[in-house]
Amino acid sequence: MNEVSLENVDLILGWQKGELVAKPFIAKNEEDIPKLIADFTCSINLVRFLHDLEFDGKAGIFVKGCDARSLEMLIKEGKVDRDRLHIIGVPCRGVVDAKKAMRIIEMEGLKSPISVTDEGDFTLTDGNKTVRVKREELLASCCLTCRSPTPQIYDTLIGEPVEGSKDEFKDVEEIESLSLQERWEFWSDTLSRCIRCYACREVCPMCYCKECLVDPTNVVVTPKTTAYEKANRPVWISKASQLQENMIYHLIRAMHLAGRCADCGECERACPMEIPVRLLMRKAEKDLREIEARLAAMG
Amino acid sequence: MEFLCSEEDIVNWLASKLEEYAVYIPSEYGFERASSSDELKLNFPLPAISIKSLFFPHSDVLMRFRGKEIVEALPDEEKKIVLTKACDANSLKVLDAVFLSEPVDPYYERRRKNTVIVTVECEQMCYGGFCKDIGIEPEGDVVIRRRGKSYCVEVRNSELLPEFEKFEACDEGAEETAKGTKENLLNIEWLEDAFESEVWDEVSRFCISCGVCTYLCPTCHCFDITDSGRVRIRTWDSCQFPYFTMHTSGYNPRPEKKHRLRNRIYHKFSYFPQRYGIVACVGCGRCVRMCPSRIDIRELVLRRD
Amino acid sequence: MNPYLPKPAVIKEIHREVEGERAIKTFRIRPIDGNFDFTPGQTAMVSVFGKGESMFAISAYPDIEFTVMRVGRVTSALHQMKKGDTVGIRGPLGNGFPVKEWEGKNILLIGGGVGMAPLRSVLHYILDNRDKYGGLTVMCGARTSKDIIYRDELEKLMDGEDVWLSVDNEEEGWFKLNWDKPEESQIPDGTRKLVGFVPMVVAAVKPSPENCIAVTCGPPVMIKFVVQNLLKLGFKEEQIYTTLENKMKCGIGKCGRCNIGSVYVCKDGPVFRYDFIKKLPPDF
Repeated sequence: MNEVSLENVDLILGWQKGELVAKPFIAKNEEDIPKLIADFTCSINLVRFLHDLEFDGKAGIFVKGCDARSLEMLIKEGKVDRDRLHIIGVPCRGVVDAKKAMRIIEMEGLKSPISVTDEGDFTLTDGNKTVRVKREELLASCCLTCRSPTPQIYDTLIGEPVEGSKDEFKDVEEIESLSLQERWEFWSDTLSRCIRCYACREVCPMCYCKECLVDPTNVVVTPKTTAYEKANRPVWISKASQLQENMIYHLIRAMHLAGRCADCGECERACPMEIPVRLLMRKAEKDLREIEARLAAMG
Repeated sequence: MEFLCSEEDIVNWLASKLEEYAVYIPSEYGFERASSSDELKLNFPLPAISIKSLFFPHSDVLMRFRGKEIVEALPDEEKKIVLTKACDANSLKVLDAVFLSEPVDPYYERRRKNTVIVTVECEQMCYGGFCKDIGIEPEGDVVIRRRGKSYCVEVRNSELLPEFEKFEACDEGAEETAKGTKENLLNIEWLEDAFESEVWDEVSRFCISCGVCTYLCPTCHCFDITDSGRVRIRTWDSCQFPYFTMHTSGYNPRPEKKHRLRNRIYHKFSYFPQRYGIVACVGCGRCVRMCPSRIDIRELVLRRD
Repeated sequence: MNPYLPKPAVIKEIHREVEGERAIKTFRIRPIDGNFDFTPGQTAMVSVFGKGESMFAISAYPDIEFTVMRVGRVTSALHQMKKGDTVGIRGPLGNGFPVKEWEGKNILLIGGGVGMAPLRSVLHYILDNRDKYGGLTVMCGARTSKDIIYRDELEKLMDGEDVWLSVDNEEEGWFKLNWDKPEESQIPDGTRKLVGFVPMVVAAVKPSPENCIAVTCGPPVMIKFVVQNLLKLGFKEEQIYTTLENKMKCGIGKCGRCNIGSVYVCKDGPVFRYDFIKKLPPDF
């Protein structure tokens, strides 16, 4: 990594090599710099970690196009101080979704350790067996419709800008075209799987509330918090993983993220039950865009 | 006793049980009840949600309140046959130790007692899994191992023996050669004096305190009890959630994620063995595969050269 | 027997101990079926149906009483209940104090704030079996004299037993201990009401470790310094008992949240001997 140094920053929040996909990493010393990577395995959006990152002065952070969108939003919302960041932008050709890769590994019977190479399409090999996989079969779903893979906000840009693709919200339209009954069945089926591990919320850079209304109890309690406050904290949803409770959780989250979601896809990649969480966010985005267009037409 | 069977023989045996038993077979996300023999097969995935959900479901009604009356809500008894893999089958030893020790948990006990476990041995460890590295062997009433195109069916539950006696016996010793002698890579002695180690800061640095590792874990069994209207429910809970141990006063004995992650590791590899004599990990690798931050438990508990 | 199932119990009496934001009330309850045998120091889960369950020390003997500070959902609901109302009770839970082992010994009870609650069950037990025990000393402290729970009861007890009350801040008629060197305080004869933190009272009164069992309960900081001062007075770790507290849900060692190392406070505790506590991982 010739383009980055620790000269003007206390640390750099970046990625290091991991199995299948990169792991988050903090470079604090010069010898950490060569460990940093920025490639198709760097699926994790690091912006989320800024919320509890401790550093003096400035910190460097690696962002892909989508990560940068979430970072911009956090700066706008006053949650992150732009002046304390050195943003290292990485134009992105799409990142691997570990769950998709693991499905292929299981299907093909590949053995650990497995290396993945990007040759236009992807190649997975364990040394004995090699499997070629079409690009779109291994890429994270959000990469397939990414409009701005090149960060719009950065201090250093590593590599050549990448052209975005056109997002026609085909996935959303597909659901919209279903009948009411079919849609109900689709969402009942997928959301009844939710185990309420809240991984989707915890990975999301925009879900930074210290206490979420779905938490079963007060999370932020100070000596000044009164018994009255604790006793009367509303319980909006039960802890039970029942369809109605799960739906309320996901709908509340979608509403809170409408117009803020950067579509980095972390929620969907984090979900162990493969719930298409992004679809809800994208429906909101599509609606907002349509409203905006209508308003603009009205003059 | 071991018998040589074809897949068809085994499926037929299971099919013959469909009326008397609820037969559960793993699907992608969890265990599903087979409604017909078409759904029975020996080649099934390791489901996202482990076998624990059959005996200790995510959400369970414990009782209902009717005025001043408390109405117990025990689950119905059900005769089950559960097809599973070695990891999940072994996890029942851990759950049994907790829920069947005094005082016995009647909700778990009711679901568990009439259960026949049929374990199909895996030919290779799944990605991220480390069952064979920590000496996990198939357990169950019936253990099925592949022998070329056939299967060797080891019937450990003597009550089931008559149902298999029509089959040819499996060769003696075949099992031994298959097992081989794999070195146990479990490396947990270092935990003895690592409570205050900086390791916990490092491993937990990118932990997001979600419930993925614990909810997917077949041995994790922490739960919460809450009243929801006039119903008292039990739900899965996670030691990784910040409020799990928080007192009403706001005081929290495990306030930081490093404390919580440390507790998870110690619980599995130190506290549980101290209390029940077994390690509370079966190497299924679910936490390894699904951790959003790519935290890998193998780096903490396996010897790696 | 379903260990999660509470039995209905009726509130027979409510005594207001402390007023204000963190009000404390003592509830005497009786299970409808009448059965509930327990050892002093044991605990029970009290249910307010629809609100939840909370674990409390049983604060009397042989009556079933709970002394409850209003802090959250369940305790606030309890505080709104009246005589004759129905609650649920599940237990007794935990180990309790080894009161039989202590027969023939002098007993020293040191409580702070609402921490006096579990000690009162021992106190009642000893008073009921007075001839089986040696000397009895009680030290009970709180922030102000209005915050001392069981104050009337303890003041009445002063006639026959060695009872000390203390407050953290100066109040009229209360003797102030030497703040820097409490052990050098010259307590006038007959004075039983002191100004000073509970550990200071221990240092000033200087109870003898001879054939004595010390039991202390209160806020963690208080316990820490009380134990330090007891050790200074020559008490051995094996002579000191305390109770621990953690968030609890099941009360029977299964739900996994009250553990300290491999020990479940709900089931293996809440009573622990100090030498045992010292061996636990520092996770509480």
